[in-house]
Formats: sequence, C-alpha cells, structure tokens
Amino acid sequence: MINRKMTHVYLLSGIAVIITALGIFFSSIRAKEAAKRGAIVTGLSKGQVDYIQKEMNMAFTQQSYIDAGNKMLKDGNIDGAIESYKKALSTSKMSGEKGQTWVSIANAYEKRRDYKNALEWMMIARDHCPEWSRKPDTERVRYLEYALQGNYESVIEHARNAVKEIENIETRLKDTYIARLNDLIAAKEYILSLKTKGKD
Amino acid sequence: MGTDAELLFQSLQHFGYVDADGNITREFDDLENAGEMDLYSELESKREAIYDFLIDLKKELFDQANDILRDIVNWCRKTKEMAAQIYDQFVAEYGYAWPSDMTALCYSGSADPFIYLLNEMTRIDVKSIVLVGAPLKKDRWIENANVDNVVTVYGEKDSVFGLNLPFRMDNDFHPETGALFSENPRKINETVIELKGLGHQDYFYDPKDPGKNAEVAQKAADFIARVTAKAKDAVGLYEFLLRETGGGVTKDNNTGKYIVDLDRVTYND
Repeated sequence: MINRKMTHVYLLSGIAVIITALGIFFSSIRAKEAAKRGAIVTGLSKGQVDYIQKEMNMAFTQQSYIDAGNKMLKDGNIDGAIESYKKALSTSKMSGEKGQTWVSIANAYEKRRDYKNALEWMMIARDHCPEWSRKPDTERVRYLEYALQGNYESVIEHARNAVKEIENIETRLKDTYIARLNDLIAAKEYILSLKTKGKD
Repeated sequence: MGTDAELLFQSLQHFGYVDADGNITREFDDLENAGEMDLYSELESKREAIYDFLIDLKKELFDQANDILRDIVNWCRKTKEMAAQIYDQFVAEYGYAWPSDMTALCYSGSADPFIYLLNEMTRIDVKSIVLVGAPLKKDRWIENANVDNVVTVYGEKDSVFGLNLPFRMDNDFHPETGALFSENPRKINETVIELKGLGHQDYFYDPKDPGKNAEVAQKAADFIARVTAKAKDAVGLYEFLLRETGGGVTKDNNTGKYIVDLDRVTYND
C-alpha cells in the first residue's frame, strides 16, 4: 500500500519536473525567438513595423556575430572569434558595419600578438575611415608597424597617442584603447624578441 | 497641478487656440506674434517657445498638423492608458516569459508612456532604448534599474521633438545637444543622433504606403534598424558611427551629438 502511494508520489513529482522542464524549455525558445525578432517596437504602423523588423533581423544577425566573437575573444577562443567576425563581415549591409568588423578582426589578431595580420586589417579599417575619425587608426597602424620591428618604446608611444586621439573623438571608447595599451605593455618581452628575429 | 504638457494644453484650450479635439483654431491663426497670445501665468516664461512650436507645427507639417496636435493632446491626457496598451502588446508578443536585456525602439508619443511603464514594472528587463522623435513630459526620468543605454534620435526639422523645449527646459534640456537624460537621477549612457533634414513623419518606411518622402524614410528606417541592433553594445555603436565611409556621419564636438546625412551613408551593392 505504502509502496503504491510512494509510486504515485514519485510519478507526480516526475510529471511536475517534466512540466517545469518543458516550461523552462519553451520559455527559452520564446526568449530566443524574441531575441531573433530584435526589439520591442512601439508607436509605428503595422506596415512600418513589418519593414523595420526585416531590416532589424539583418542588423541583429550581423551584430549577433560580433557579440559571439567578442565573447569568444574574452574566453580566449581567438580562432572562433575571427571566424565569427568574418561571418559578421559577410552580413554587413552598411559601410559602418563593415568598418566595425574590420576593427574587430584586427582586435582579435592583436590579442593573439599576431601583429602582422592585425596590421593588415587595421590598414583596411584606416583607409576606409573618414578623415574626422581617422587619427586613432593612424596611431594604431604606426604602433603595429613598430611592433613588427620590435621597437617597443615606439609601440608604447603611439599606443598612448591612440588613447589621446580617441579621447578627442569619443571618450567612451577610451577603455578599449587602454586595454590594448596594457596588453602591449604585457607583451614587452615578445615585442623586443621580434627585433632579434628581424636581425636573424 | 498636472505636468507642463497638460498645463500647456489646458491653457491653449482655455484661451481657444486649440479645440476639444486638438485642432488648431482660427484664434491662433489670427495672432500676429507671441506677445498677443494669452497663456496661464505659469507658462509666461515659455511664451516664445510655445508660440514658435505651434507656428513650426503648422508651417512644416501643414496638412498633418492637426492630426499630430490631436495625438499630442491625447498623449498628454492618456499616459496610463497608452502604457496599458503597450503592456498588452508586450504580453501578446512574449507571454509572461519575458526575455532579459531587451532593446526597445519607441517612436514619438509612445516613448513617454513606455518609460512610464518601465518605471512602474521594474521587472521588465530592457537594457537599451532607442527613442525616435520623442517628446517627453517634464520629470519623466528613467527609474527602471535595468536600463543602461539610451539612443536619442531626432530629425533636424522635427517640431514634435521640439516639444521638449517648452516641456523640459527647466530640466536642463538643451535643444543644441538634444540630450533628454543628462539630468537623470540614475546615470544613463545617452547617445544623441540628429538626422539632417528630417521631419517628424520621415523616420519610418512602409512599402505599401510609402508617403511623400519614401526614399528618405527608407534610408532612415534602414539606419535606425542598425542603430537599434547596436544600442546594447556601446563600443559597437560608436565604432559603427565612426567608421561610416561615405562621410554620412560626423560628430559635433561642441554638443557631443552625431549628425547623420542619410544621403551620404553608404551601403553594399
């Protein structure tokens, strides 16, 4: 008798767990669908919403590759990050999206201390950058060139200049430039070793 | 006493410049200058701004002015009802399993009740809000602790956005910067984007009802879609703006706002 009761309890608990799990599962699907849809939109007519949702789907897809790349970069998965950024590049519709992606790829290579590839991508970004916001890129290209030559002092000088230049344009980007400056300081021995390799 | 917005429309109706349905009347048309306009004494200091706003509204949006004004009158009176409508829409779309870190895109008069809703229902987790051509009532601050970022977008010729001058001028609203939350009690990262040459009806595009400025509206909608997608990632948003290759985006260093010429923003072929 007790065993039968216990069986019922287990069965009911099991059903409750399954229902809860299904609830979480469907909630998660809804959340993912919501994320796919992009944003909550208020104040627009239905036709306007339909149009902008289509555009936002493309824009959110592009940005989701950037976000995924940023997360992988943070977790140390640099190859994964570069792959994700390249997907972002292929889904970019506006030139600003492309520019953002070129810099993201350069960031990933620089994080790996692959200054050659970082320089190549930064040169593309710099050459497409409008005049008014180009100075930080110019400084960044310079320090990457010096890094390849193993000239640590010049690397730091121009990385600091890049921080100053971005402060004049968009101070809210300063932290990312400071983080890269700190990475370069941490890479001192490696950068100096490139000078020796160059002589060899 | 209601908000500045309610007081303004009470005053306009009391002196016969706007009828009960929100239409501008002959009384206003017959005025020759701001000095001739009667107003409640509390609004005296804003006489010029109020007069200019009504003139601009009639001049730039001539055939739509009365509709817009009627909407604004409703907006002033019905914040809670509009917030309830937005909430219902929200539930219909997401059920009660609300996603976290959401982004919201709010146009015109829907922005104020949306922020009211966020403040009332603090469990709604909206991280970023893009406000387009949005007038806000005096003291409409963002109290919901989930909100970190606001992107304020407005057209250079948007008279409705200009309502913020009479409504929020006591709260440090500077029309030169366009920023709405520089005095917000919680620190909000606000980015201001001015769209050159655009009026209040030019931000969004409907292929089935393209309107007079279809090309401009389509470009604006495409651009606003990108800004909305990047609103949560401040670094990404600034990189996007700084790297527009066609010279379509510049930054005004005096005011800190980004100025966008949609004709010069470049797209892939």
